[in-house]
Amino acid sequence: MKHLIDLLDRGELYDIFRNFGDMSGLGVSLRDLEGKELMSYYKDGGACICNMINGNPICVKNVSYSGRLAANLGEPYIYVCGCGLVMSASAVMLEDDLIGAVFCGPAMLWDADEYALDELEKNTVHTVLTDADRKHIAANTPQYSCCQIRSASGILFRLVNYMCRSHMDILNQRQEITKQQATISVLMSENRQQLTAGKRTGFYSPENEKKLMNSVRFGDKTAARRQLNNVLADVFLYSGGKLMTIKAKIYELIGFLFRAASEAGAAQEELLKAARESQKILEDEISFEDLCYCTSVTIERFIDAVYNGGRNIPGARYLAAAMTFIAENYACNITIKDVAFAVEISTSYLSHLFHDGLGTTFISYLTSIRIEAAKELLMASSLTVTEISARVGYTDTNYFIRAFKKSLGISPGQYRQQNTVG
Amino acid sequence: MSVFEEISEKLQRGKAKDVAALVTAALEAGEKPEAVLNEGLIAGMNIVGEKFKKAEVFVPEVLVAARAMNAGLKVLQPALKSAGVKPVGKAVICTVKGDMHDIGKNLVKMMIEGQGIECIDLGVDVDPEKVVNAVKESGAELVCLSALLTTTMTAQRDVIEALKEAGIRDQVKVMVGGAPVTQQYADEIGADCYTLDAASAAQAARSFFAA
Repeated sequence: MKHLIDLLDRGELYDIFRNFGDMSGLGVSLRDLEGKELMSYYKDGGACICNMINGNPICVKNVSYSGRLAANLGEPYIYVCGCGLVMSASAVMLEDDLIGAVFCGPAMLWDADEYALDELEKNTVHTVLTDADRKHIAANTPQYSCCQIRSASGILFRLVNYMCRSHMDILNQRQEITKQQATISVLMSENRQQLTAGKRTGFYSPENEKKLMNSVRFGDKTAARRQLNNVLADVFLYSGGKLMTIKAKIYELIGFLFRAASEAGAAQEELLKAARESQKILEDEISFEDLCYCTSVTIERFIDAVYNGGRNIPGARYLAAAMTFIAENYACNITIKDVAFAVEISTSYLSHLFHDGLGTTFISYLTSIRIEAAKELLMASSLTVTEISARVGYTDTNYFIRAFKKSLGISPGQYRQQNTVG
Repeated sequence: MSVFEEISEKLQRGKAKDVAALVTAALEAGEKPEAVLNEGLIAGMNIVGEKFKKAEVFVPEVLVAARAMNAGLKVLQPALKSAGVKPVGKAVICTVKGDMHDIGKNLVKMMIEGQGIECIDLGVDVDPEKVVNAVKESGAELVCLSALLTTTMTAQRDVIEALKEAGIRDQVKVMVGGAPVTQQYADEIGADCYTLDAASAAQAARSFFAA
């Protein structure tokens, strides 16, 4: 967990602390879960009670407790500290992990009268503070109203969280890129095997392209993601890894899908915005992995545009609903009748929609969904082929094995062997 | 405005010094300590509590009101204690492990003392062992446990188990309370009694010792 703290941009965080501290007059500190101070800013060179008694066990205990409570609350936790002054704690989360909390304070929410001074004395009797210190503290601790302390702590909370989130976004993006590349690598090896098995005639499959186009037309993001990765794998192999060829092909693809989305009713403005942002694929220095990521982001934006623009392909909504039903129920023993019933249309119309909209039959589509699921289980689990067959919806294991082999050219067992690392 | 209304109003606005002064004045004027407590301090705190529930005020307002309440209680405490009959028994009170809230606990403590029961306050965030030891050392016959969070109320169960393990569960009555605690929960964990607020806690405590 230590390394997560290093991911925070310390310079930027300190700037936030300094600006906030100078403006609010409150001390600001970032502390870990045990209450230890990691970074802080105290205006006026540190003449703050928190700084003066730093490390006092009561303080540390309070701080540790408050940080955890703040994490549970999901918002600033305003409390009275061991010295009787008001503090605020806001949890700092990085990747769902609580790494500590940001504190601001102390403040006095009441008059700095004799009662307050007396109270301060009693509360700090076990600390190193002298009477002179206490007088100074009472005179210089900012006085806040209840409303002001809530606002101040709210601002700090949001600032820190936005900062963490923006770092999170970058981290998440890297994760997505890595995952995509892993998927594409697997697809490339499948592609090669199919070629050797005579299952396809060249690296580039126009079928994959067509499927992708259909997914865009019908706003099916999940399918599109998968099919795009297939197409990217094809493109890489077909181009022999030459970046220029890859870029040209991808640019072509984006134009092609732009048209598909437009025909499906997407708004021009939205499409153009997505296309504009995709221009970075034309940059000289872009890597293959960033190319892939940028393309998938663009395609998803096209699909969003289709979804937002309403579709002008008749029956598209029914087809989309049918595809969703299948995605959720493929593991059950479903027939075209079941799906048609669920979507409230006739079996013949549904069959018609599959043919016109996706260029395939219900059974082919269902099989492909099941086989995709089976592939993931083969790679990522140690379930037997029989167990996997049942899990993806086949009652007859032999039937499953035959369908798998027909689609990929090799048996499930061989697929697993070829795709498991080490 | 009556003195109780004044106390209540100052308390709600977090004026600690004024509340202390008003309580002193009220006692000097001959008002009964229980009346000052119930009709002045607790009445004011209840209004803040209601407003908090309705989200008309928030945690900071509750904090300053509680501070003013404590200021009043400090003045009231000796008066409450001496108004109680000679000690009828001993009780141990604390806020359970993991929980730092003490307003409710302090209130219950004072109310119980006002009933003539000697109250040993173990503070906040208290280990079950510490409770067991305190009971053994003092011979207390009542244990009062406060928990304000759903995450800490399980510690009340831990204390009861610890008392069982030490073989002294039968020597004490266990009373539980706090915002998330219910009669159902109290039954589930084997507590003897659940009370909703400080006043009923004090009455329940009194009846244990009267028996």
